[in-house]
Amino acid sequence: MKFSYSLIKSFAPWIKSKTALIDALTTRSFEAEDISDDTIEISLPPNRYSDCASHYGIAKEASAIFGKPLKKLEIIGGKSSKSEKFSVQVEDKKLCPRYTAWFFDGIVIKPSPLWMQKTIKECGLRPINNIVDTMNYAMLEIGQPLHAFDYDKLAKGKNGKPEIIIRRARKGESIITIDGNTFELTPDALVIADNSGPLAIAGIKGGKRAEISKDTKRIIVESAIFDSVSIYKTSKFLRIVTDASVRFSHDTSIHLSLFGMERVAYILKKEYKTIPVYFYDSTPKLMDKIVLKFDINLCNKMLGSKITEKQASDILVGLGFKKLTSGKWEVPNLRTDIKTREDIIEEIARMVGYENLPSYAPIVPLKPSETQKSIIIKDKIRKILTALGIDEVYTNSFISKEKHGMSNELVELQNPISLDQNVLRPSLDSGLMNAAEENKKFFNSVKIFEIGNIFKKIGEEINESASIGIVINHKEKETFFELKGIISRLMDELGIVDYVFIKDKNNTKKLNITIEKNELGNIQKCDTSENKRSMSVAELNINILALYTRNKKDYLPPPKFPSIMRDISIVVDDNILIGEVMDAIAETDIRFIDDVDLIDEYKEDKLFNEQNLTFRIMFRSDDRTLKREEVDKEIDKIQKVLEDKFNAIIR
Amino acid sequence: MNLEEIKKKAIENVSSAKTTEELQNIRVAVMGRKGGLTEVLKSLKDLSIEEKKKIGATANELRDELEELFNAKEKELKKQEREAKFRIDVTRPGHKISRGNTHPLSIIDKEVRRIFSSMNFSVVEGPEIETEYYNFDALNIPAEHPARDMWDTFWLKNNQQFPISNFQFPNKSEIKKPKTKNQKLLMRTHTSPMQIRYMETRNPPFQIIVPGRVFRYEATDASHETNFYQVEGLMVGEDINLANFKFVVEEFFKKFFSAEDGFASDGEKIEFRYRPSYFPFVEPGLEVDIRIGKGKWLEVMGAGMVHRNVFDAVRYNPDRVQGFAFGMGLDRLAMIKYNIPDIRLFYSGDVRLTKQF
Repeated sequence: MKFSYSLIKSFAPWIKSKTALIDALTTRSFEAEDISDDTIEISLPPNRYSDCASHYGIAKEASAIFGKPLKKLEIIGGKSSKSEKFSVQVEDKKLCPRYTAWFFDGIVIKPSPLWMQKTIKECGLRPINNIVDTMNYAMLEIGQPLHAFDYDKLAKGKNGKPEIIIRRARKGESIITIDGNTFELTPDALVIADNSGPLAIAGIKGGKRAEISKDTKRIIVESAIFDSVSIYKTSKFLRIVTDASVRFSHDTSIHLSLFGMERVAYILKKEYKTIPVYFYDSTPKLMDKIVLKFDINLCNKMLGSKITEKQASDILVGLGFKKLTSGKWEVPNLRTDIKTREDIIEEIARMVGYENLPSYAPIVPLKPSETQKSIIIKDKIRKILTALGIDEVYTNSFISKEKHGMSNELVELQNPISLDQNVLRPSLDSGLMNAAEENKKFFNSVKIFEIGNIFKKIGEEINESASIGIVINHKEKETFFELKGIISRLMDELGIVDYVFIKDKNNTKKLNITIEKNELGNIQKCDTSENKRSMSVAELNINILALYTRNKKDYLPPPKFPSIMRDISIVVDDNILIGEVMDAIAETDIRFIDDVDLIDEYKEDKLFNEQNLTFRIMFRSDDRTLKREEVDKEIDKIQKVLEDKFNAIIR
Repeated sequence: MNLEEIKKKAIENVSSAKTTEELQNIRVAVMGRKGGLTEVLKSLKDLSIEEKKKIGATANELRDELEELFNAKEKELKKQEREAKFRIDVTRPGHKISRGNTHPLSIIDKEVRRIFSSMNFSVVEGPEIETEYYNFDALNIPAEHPARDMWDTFWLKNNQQFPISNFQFPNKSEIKKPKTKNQKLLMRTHTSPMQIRYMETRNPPFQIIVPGRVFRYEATDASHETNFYQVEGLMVGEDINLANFKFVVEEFFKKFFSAEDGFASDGEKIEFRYRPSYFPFVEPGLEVDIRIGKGKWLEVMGAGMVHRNVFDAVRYNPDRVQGFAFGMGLDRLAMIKYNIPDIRLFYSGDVRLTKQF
């Protein structure tokens, strides 16, 4: 919010400089910033609008900080009385807890004095005419939004005089505002109306019908308090933000309206010699003041400080609190933010200055600190994959529904920031593949991984889980088996043994990875537009990984007896799956076969429906050195299995 | 040729031989089947016994002598040749050894966790999809209040269901589904909901940090992203006070920006500035600024003493416990520490960023 330094200074002439004020506010109250010659931008916290969305309020803050008194604010008071000129009816007391309206006569419309125009402009408003400007000027001073209606444009009621009604808008009702826009209203909006319809959207914007014009002679000035939630909602709904709506959205004190009225009456009299004739106040008797207990010991307990009773009292008095008996304090009228003991402690803490408060170590029972398992596993995965030569990247959690393709699994945003970020990522692959595409401009080989959360709609529920995605993209080199090897290695390092790779039923270039019937993830070869490039992607569910990770390691002594190595070369039909052949070999005799590996494969150009495979088989026994004849026997068995099962020709 | 000449020539040739091959040729020329010395020995059969004895003995001596000579020379040459073969130019460049690197935000995250763990803080994490209740209501941020505007929110479409949070509860049955709480779903705008989730199931005293990804509905620029990372801190006990908060964060920042980590050059001081501020879930509320050496003041943290309404929401007695909470941006810490000018670089997936860390 913009403030005029000179207007603040007019209430607190002892402020030495703008910088001094800005520093004081920033370290003791709220952030202030030097904008230009006379203008200061102050970031009011949402709970301080009631007392500080005004120059007088800021001056009051300064007075508390510097410990100097404010200049007396001149006002014109008035007692609520029955009026011959108009009547007011507040239909909804909840949405309008207080409505004051004063009648002024003998108005002459002209431009306002230049000094007033200057201040209004500095605070970001536009000068209109002397009456409208005075309303705005008083609002800048006091914080109370004020509105003036042209009395002679108001419709007459049953009793022959204008009747102002504060009510909810009727269905289908609309209003043309002073800037000429038409707004359709709903019963959620509160309006100020007369007998022929809305005059203003309460607390937000005035209407065209009773606006001040060059012919205006008599006015009714409104100074009211509206329910903050109602104003906030209506302002959002109609998309109108005004200086009034911003103030009313922030829980304004019921005391502010009379205060604002009394001040605007003073300015009208001083500048234009008009005095209020009739006064209306819907709530002349106000509820009890807020009284809170304050105990310096509790204050020091929370701050860890040694502030004295006297110090605290001085601060509270400086802020306008009134000391009652037995540790009770009356909260200043406009401070709607002070509701609890801690609110008072904050007043003392900030006025003493946080930099002046002590700093020391807490004393607590010693208990080992813990790190959630999911975090430990993510750290572990990072360590393993980077050691395997893969780089970590982060990508956006939001992706494009259109690019991803329709799916019932997708979780959609209600208010996406753009069309290419309108759903939550159901997997990490699209982000990673995009990143691979970008990175291959700079590298022949791209190996990247990401750890992040993914989101899927499953039935009626949304499932969020942590995921690890890996993409490999090479120029002129196959990627799938490297990635498969990486996954196996990752599992090894995590101590996971019971997982299996299962060929996908629909996609021949995809392997699913499961563990005890839980779907752990998959590896997939991707189609790339360039035929010289190969790209594969894998993704695993970290939550499931976490369930099977084993930290426990048992030492195994190195084998006592040597192993014997044999190679077998076969020719089989091209449709035979290597994985199945290897499984068959390994299962032939689990006592002696230690390891099976594929060491060579080729296809002859002419015999494209056959494949030549060479396997290396390691035989070993735990209790003796195997004899050559024993191994020969094993080889015979294996050959028989291969011939029977796969129609293999042994070479 | 007589023996003298053979000997002289052989010695001459051997000493000038450069390679084992050359030496072998010389050896053959002298001692081969048709070599000079062999010829002499062969011609012995035509001589008298006297001469045979005399010349034969000398020739045999010469043969032994030359044999030794050849062998010695051969050894020498072989050694030379081997050395030549295995000569390396140590000034050649080393190989480029590749390895994978960790993303800078992961490094910062780990470092933050390490420092807080060293101060006895536990580390937990929570779901990125949250309910309105945890993200706002329970944190004393009422609906239809301008205070909510401090957090621009992404909402989920048509969803009132509760997400399954596998984070804390791998077992679905453990998820509590309170009926009365506000279940409208959103992307969490801060890590603060974990304050509520954690306190709902534990009793003080405790101290935790919560790192994680958060989301804000705002236009992106060099210092704003729709996704970014925060770390939440929460310490609650019977008499955890603001002085304790100052101690903990000052220790944290001193360690985080210490010279050992290669950022602040030796002796550069870290200064702290505390400003009053407003967050609905704390009272008093404040902000922490730091200044490293002669640099600018940098806003790094929002914090305060946990609001009694927050304690009420988790059924702690606000008159019996107190504590502090804080939140800071991991991205911001990384940008300060590594001089990274644009937050969007973190989420670009560009390996040229990662490779530098």
